[in-house]
Formats: sequence, C-alpha cells, structure tokens
Amino acid sequence: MQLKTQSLTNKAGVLIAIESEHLDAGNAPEFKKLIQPLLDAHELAVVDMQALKFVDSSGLGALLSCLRSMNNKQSQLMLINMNKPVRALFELVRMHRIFAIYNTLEEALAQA
Amino acid sequence: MKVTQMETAILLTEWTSASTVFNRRKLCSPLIPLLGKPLLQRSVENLVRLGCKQVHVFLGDNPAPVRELLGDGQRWGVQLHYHYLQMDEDLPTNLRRLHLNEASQYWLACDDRVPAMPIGVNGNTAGYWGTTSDRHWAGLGCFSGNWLNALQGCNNREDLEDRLATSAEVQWTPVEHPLSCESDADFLRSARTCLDANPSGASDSIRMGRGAFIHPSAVLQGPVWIGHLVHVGAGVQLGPHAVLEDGVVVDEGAAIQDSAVVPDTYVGKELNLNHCVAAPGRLSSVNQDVVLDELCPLLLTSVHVTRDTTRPALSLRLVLWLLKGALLPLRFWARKVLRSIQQETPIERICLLRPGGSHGQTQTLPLANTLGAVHAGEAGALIQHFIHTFYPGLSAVQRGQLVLCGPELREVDHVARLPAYWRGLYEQHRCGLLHPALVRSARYMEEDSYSQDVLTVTDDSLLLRLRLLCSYLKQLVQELVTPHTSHPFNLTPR
Repeated sequence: MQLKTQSLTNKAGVLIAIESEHLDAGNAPEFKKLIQPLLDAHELAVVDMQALKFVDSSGLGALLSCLRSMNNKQSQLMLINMNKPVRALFELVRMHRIFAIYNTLEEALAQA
Repeated sequence: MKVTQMETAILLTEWTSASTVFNRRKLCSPLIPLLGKPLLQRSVENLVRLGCKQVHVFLGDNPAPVRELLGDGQRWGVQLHYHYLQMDEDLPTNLRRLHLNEASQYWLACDDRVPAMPIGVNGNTAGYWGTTSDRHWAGLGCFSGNWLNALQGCNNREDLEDRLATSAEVQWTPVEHPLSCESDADFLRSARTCLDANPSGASDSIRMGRGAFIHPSAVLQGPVWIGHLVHVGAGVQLGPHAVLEDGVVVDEGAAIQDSAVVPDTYVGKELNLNHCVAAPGRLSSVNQDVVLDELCPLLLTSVHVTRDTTRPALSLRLVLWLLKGALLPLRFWARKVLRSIQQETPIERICLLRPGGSHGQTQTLPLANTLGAVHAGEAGALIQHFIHTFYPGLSAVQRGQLVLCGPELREVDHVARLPAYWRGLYEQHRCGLLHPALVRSARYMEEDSYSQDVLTVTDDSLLLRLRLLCSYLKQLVQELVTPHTSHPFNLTPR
C-alpha cells in the first residue's frame, strides 16, 4: 500500500492518491495507519481513487473511519475519480449519501 | 469544469420533498415506460431537441438504474455528466461544482415532467400549464446562472415552484399539459397525450411491437399501443386508448379501454379495465380514485412468477406451521445424514481462474490429475472457510466442484488455519471461490480486471445481492462500533 500526497492551496488541504489496486482486509489496517497522520495534519483531504479497482467491506470501513476522524475535527474528506466497480459498490451500500464524491479534483475544490 | 455554454442543461432526478417521496406510489416513477420510453428518457430527448450538448444529471436515492438507462448519452449525441444530489443542501450549493457563469443561460429540467412543447427562450423563462391565475411549473425552464445561484434555501422542487411563482424576474410561457407521472391520473393522461400525438397522424392508429401476438378473434379499436412480445388472447377487446407495455399477457375475454398496463403484467380472464393503471398485483382506478393492492393472482400478476403465490387460508397455514414444528427433529436428522454423505463425496474437478484472468485463461482441470486425492475434511473446511468470508456466492457452489478465482481472501487469520496445500495455492494465486455459472454468465468478466467478481455475484441474483449487503452491513457495524466504543458515533451526512 502506497499513498502519494500533494499539497493543495485550498484550506491547507492535501491530495492523497491511493496507488494500490485494491483496498481490503489485507491492506486496510496499513491504509488507516498511513492516512491518519495526513488527516490529522490537514483540514481538507481529497482522496484520489483513480487506481483503486476493488474495495471490500474492510476498505469501506477504513474510509468510514477516516470520515469520522475528519468529522470529529470539523474537517472535510472528499473522494474523487472513483472507478465504475467501486462506485457501484458505494451505491449498493448507499455510501454515496455519506461521502462527498466528485468526478474531478476541480469539482471537489469548488465545493471545499 | 467551467460550464459557460448555452447548450448546457441541468437535469434533477428524484428532487422532491421527503414527504412527497414517502407518499409517492410505487408505480409512479420516471423509470416506468410510457409508450415504450421512460419519462426520464423523454426528458433527455426533450433537452436534446432544444439543442443541449451536455447535460448534468444530478442523481438522487437510486442512482444505479438511472445510470443504466441513460448511459453516457452517446445514443442521443449528448454528453451526460453525473453528480450526486445532496438532499440536505440547497440548489445553489449543489450547483456550485458546475461553476455556473452568472451571465449565461442554462436549461433546468426535472425528471418526472416533460413539457409537451418546447418553450421560447427570452431571459429567465419557465414553462407553465394551467390557467394564468393557477400556474404549475411544467418541469422545464431557462435561467441565468445568477438567478440559479440566488436560490438559497431551495431544497426541493416544491420550494423551486414557490420561488418561481413569487419571482418578478421570471417570465412565464404557456405549454401544453406536460407528460407527468406524479400520480396515476397523470400517468394515464400522459399516455393519452402520447397516443394522440402519434407521428403517423392517424387518430385511430394501432402500433404493434416486435413479436407481439394478437388472436384473430380479438377486437382492436385505435389508438392502441401494443409493446414488444405482448400476447393478446381470444375475444379480447382493446381500445380506444389502450396501452400495453412490453411483455404484457392479456387472457381470453378481457377488455381494456382508456387504460395503461405496465410491462410484464398478466391480465386475467374476462377482466375489464376502464380508466385504470394496472401493474402486477396492483390496480388503480383513476375515476374512482381507488387503488387495490391485494389482488387475486388470477386477475393481475407478473408474467414472470412461476410458482403459485396464492396464500393458503389462515387455518391451513396454522396446520402447516404445526406440522413443520412436529417434523423439526426429523429435519435435523436428515440434515445430519446429508452432511455425512456430503463429506464422503470427493472433489472431482477444479476450475482455476488466475487473477486478472478472463474466459480465455480459465482452466478447468480434473482434480485427480492436478492435485491428487483431496481429503474430504479439508475440502469441507475450505468451503466453510470461504462461506464465512466475504464471498456470498459460495453457498451456491455445487458439490463435487470447486472454483478458484478472484482477488483474495478477506480474513488473513483464516489463511493460517487452512490446510497446507490450500494455503500455498491461496498465497500463490490469491484465490477466492465463486460459482462457475455466476462467473461465466456475468458481463463484468469481459473487462480485464479480476476485481469484478463481487459485482459478478451481485448482478446475478437478488438473494446473493441481499446477502452481500447484509455481510457488508454486519462488517461495517463491527468496524465502526468495536474499536471506538468510548466515542459517540459521529457520522453525519454531508
């Protein structure tokens, strides 16, 4: 599991690109461990899910944990560039109503 | 994404107040076909007729069927962009992501109303129907970005209609009664409008779909719409203004006038439908404003129901229930015997799909040649293991056959408890288990990605989909509750 980060000008934000193809029980704990310091240090986190092709329940749980962490400190978590199967999974479990999901980075930054 | 062109439209789906959604009858949905086309599709076609090049579709509670119906918009030569509609935020907040140019004009349309005529464009313009004193928004308008951005507090279509009615900047243009599906009466009226606006010009035209069968003794009086694969039995009287959507079966002696029958409905013998909307198990009489939900399947039911859905009388059900209870020990004994028989059955074949594999890379090999003898206990443990992990399709695996495919196991700890050979196989190929029929029949396997198998399963069966959902919810609750018991659950919707 590797995360590529890039600073954003908006609200001391950070763009976090997930470079793994899957986010599941095998790497969800590692993902949480890697992303938590980034979330703690920024008010806006935009997660780029372009490379992600598979998310299971553990992966969803990890993302929910990130959202809760950001909500606790009144910060924003946004998901962008979601692939079709991942997006379908989010819609299946109605997670698209909870997460802020955008097609592109520009759209996300417009909402920030 | 800068949206500054005049050819841009914003289409809002399921944008109604919570109370309306709650009260909305199941039948009245923009996805139900109205003379072969869902109202939502007619909305898009209407926008294309008005010269739109790109449409921003805001998705509501059920995004998947809308996406499936509209696709990417290529068949209409229009670009469709999808966004999730945030119900708890007002319209300007939802539109902020589009970067609306304040000076430009945009079409704004709703999914469940289509004006019968295009409207003129001159500043902020809204189409209406009704009288000049009693105006109803016809579901389409052309507004400037500036006006749209000033709609703070506008959370649903009802709010927008109020705002339109009180705004001095908006000009009103009369239109014909729009196609609408807000109620059964609307649905029926819209169907009549479509029938009367037949492009052939004939007022009594009869339109037949592909594969439709009409018995020679049936009497048809136009205008009538008969969809694809409709079966009309002997002595049936159809029309005027009868709409039979695709796959409808009308049994002998039935009569249908001024009514619409939704797809795949069976209309029973000698049933007389007059000014009605009929669906499987549901009959709505528009004249009497009565909806019957508890109908005998002999009158109205789905053509796809193969098993007998008639409910036995209460006393009979009670007897059956007592009988089941009395036979419970016998059932347990039979299950035990069956389980012992299953354990003795050796695995005969193994079908291995490598990660990233597609049909071409599937290998189905006799087990004896590849693995040698496999102990029944190990196989049983393996199946049990997979059943209790992520894949819900495992319960459908037939005895005597194992299928290995997909990405990997969910529970890492369980791998350590597997027999040595299976553990090695798993670690080498990162395999999971799925039923072969589910894998092969799924369209997702055409894509070159091994991560599609979960969708493969969910696409094939409603039961499996529900199981997957339950599995997800259970694991999510565990994930959310277990490690943070000391903190309150803070997961506010946006």
